[in-house]
This record gives sequence, structure tokens and C-alpha cells, in this order.
Amino acid sequence: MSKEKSFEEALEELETLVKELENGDIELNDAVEKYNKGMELSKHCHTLLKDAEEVIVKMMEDNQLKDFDE
Amino acid sequence: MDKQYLTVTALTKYIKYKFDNDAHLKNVLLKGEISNFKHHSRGHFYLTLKDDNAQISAIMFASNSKKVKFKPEDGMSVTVEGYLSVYERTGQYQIYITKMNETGLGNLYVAFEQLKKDLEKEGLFDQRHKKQIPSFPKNIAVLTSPTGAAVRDIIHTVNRRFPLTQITVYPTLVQGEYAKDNIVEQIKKVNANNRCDVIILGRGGGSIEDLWPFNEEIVAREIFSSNIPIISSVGHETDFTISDFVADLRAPTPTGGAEIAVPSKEELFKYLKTLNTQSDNALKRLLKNRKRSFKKVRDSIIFHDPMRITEAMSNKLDYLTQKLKILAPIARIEQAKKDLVSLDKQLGNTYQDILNQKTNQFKYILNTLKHVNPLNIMEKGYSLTKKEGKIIKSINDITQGDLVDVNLKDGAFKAEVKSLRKETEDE
Repeated sequence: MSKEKSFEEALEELETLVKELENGDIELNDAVEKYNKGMELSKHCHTLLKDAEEVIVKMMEDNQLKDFDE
Repeated sequence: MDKQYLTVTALTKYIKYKFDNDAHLKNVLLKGEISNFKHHSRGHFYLTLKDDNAQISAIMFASNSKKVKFKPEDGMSVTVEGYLSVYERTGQYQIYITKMNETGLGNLYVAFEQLKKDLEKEGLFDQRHKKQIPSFPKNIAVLTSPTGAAVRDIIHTVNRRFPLTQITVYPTLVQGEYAKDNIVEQIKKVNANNRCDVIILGRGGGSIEDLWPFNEEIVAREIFSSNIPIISSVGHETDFTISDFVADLRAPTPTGGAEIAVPSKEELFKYLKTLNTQSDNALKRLLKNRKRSFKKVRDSIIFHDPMRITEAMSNKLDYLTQKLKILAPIARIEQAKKDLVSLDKQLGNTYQDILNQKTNQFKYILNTLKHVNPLNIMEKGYSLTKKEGKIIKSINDITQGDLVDVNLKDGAFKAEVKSLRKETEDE
């Protein structure tokens, strides 16, 4: 799985996987694969949120993007 | 000679003395519009009275303010009575109000209500125009003063809730006469740059004048036409501006705006946990169902008693053989032959029956004919009288002088009617 996946993308994929799993009409092999992938996505989301540093704040001044000092 | 320097206190006391002893300032009747109104917890009113060109600080002590029957608020026009004096600590002169009456709503308030009504009628506040705020914004444009408390509140709140997003501050004038044009310009810029997926437009609390740019029509129209959704977060909880109504979402404060803009980390953790539990349960359920299906197959009778299969097969074979025999062509031909013989016999029987029946029928009809033949009756001496070929059945069929034909069993003769005698039923 690509680690570049954004939180939103990962969460959306995870939601789809859970829906498919809950549907029940699925091969067991497939289910186990989806489950593992879901767990990985969940961990990815978790890590993204947990490890997020402070929000990146920029300032748009004179059409130039600058660092913003509080 | 040494210059005499006054102390600030001495000068202030002198000025205060001048105010206090001026006859005109001892009893002042004043009209103006309330602004910056604050109701102190001890009951005093602090406010500014203003008109188009000037303003004056005012205070009304609790002993007097408790007699005011209405609830003063910013934008209200009032008439007051009071006296002028100086508050030495701040060096401020102010009017000490003793009586206050309401004279109507202030001009700003009227303007606000008018614009709100017009824009609402035009449909600018309609729910159907509201754009969806993205669930996980990637970059939030913050339009406010880069030095105010609002921008810090927003950054801190986003940091706390969802630091995966980014913030781009667009320094914006949020009060004063140039603010409205600047706000419009910055909204246009955010749309042109198209780096951000949501806008928080706002500022901290202030007087109705301070917040006024957010009640300007050009600001309202720019918010309306922005392609990027806008969250309006102006002033405090109780402040409502035109911007709030036209924006895609209204937040009570800048902090509230940030809370609406991004999801909460804590809630997301909880949600992830729920999804994990759901996956676990789904997989468990799936395994259980598969196990049950497997068990059902494994426990099937066939695995326990394989002879059953051959028995069942043998039964089926017998049945089919039997059926085959019945359906064989030779058997059918034999059957058909038998059927034919039987039919021949039936046909012979039927022919004789019909012949007998017809003979009997003929004899019967012959007999009947004999009985009804009119010749049989005339044999006994009766005659048949006709007039112009028609049988006469009633006295009414003839008149005197008619020529009639009388038929007998062995001949006929013509006769003339000599007289008529009608037999009535009464006789």
C-alpha cells in the first residue's frame, strides 16, 4: 500500500472495505484479504493523525506564499 | 522666574471643576445612538452615544439604570438626561446619565434590516445555494487580520482537531472604511488562486460599527458568488451579520468556525475504532457462516451411509425401466389393435340400434297422420265451405248474397247465401 495515501482517501477506502465485508456475499479468501487491507488502512489513518505535526500555516501576501509567524 | 509645573492630577481636578460648575453641563438633554453597550455585572451601563460626526462616552449607574424599562442595545436611538463630568483616572469626560428613553432604532440597525430583507427576498440566503463544506479540507483559507486574536484562535483550534490540513492566511482588513473592498478583493483572490477548499471569513467581537463591513452589500454578494464554500465567523455568539446569512455556514466565533471546518482528531480515532470492530465482527460472522455450511455438508447422510446412494439409484433405475416398457412401440401397436376390434364391434351395435329407432318413429308418425286427415272427418258427413278460396270459419266472414263453394267428400257445389243468423254468446 502506498504510504502517500491521504487520510481522506485511506478512510474512504476503509469504509468501502468494511461495507463489502459486512455484505457477507464474498469469498472467504477475498474477505480475509480485504480484512487485512482494512486493518492496514486503519493503521495508516491512525498513524497519520497521531504523528501529524503542527498544522502548516502560510500567508498569502502580495501574491507570494510566505511563512506565517504568529 | 521658575516655571510652575502642574501635576496631571491638579490639571485634571481643575478641568473637572470647570465641568462641574458649568451651568450648561449640569443638566444636559442629549439624543444619540447607542454603541459599545455593556451591561456591567454590578448593574451599571457603559456605552457610547453617537451621531454621524461625533461621539461621547456615557455611564449610567445602577441606581438609575435599574429604572430603565427597555433593554438598551447597540444601534438603538435614545434620548438621555444627565450631567457632564470628568473621570480623573482616565482623563475622560463623559456624560453621567440619569434618565434614558428609547426613540427608535438607529440608522445602522434600519439599514441592516432593510438589506437583510432585500437579499433574503432575492434568494441569497436560500438553503439550495449553500455549498457543501468538505469533510476533510486540505487547505483552509483564513480571511482575517493576521495580527488579531481570531487568526490565532483558528490556527490553535485546527491544530488541536485536525493538523493534517493546511492553513493559508489571507491578511484582510476587517474593520474601517476600506474593509469591505478588501474583503471582496481577498475572496476573489482565494477563488483565483484555487489552492484552498474552504474559506473561514471572520474577526473577533466588536461594536456594531466594527462589524459593519460584514453587513455591506458588496461583501454579501461576493460571498454569494464565491465558488469555494465560506464559513462566516464574525464577532461573538450573539452577533449576527449579513455575511452570516449569506455564507454557506455560520459559526458563532472564529474558534467555532475552525471547529466546523475540520473534523476532530478524537472523534476520528473513535470512528476508526468502530470501523475496526465492524471489520472484526463481519469477518467472524463470515467464518461462522462458512463453518456452519461446511458442517452441514460434512454431516450429510451420504457421508455416513454411502450405500444409500446406490440404493436410491437402483430404485430410480427400476422405475425408469418400467416406464420404458410401457412406452415401447410394440406394446402400443398391440393395444391399438385391441382398441380397433372393440370399436368395430361397437359400430355394428350402434347401426342396428339406429335402424330400429327410425322404423318405430316412422310407424308412429304414420298413425298420427291418419287421425288428423280432414278427409277422415268429411267421411262422417261434414262439409268444408270456402269463399274465394278461403275457408269460412265465422259468420262474420260472409254477407248476404255471397257466392260460396261447398266441398264434400266426393265433390263440390256453389251456393248463394240467402240469410245470416248470428249466434251471440248471451243466447
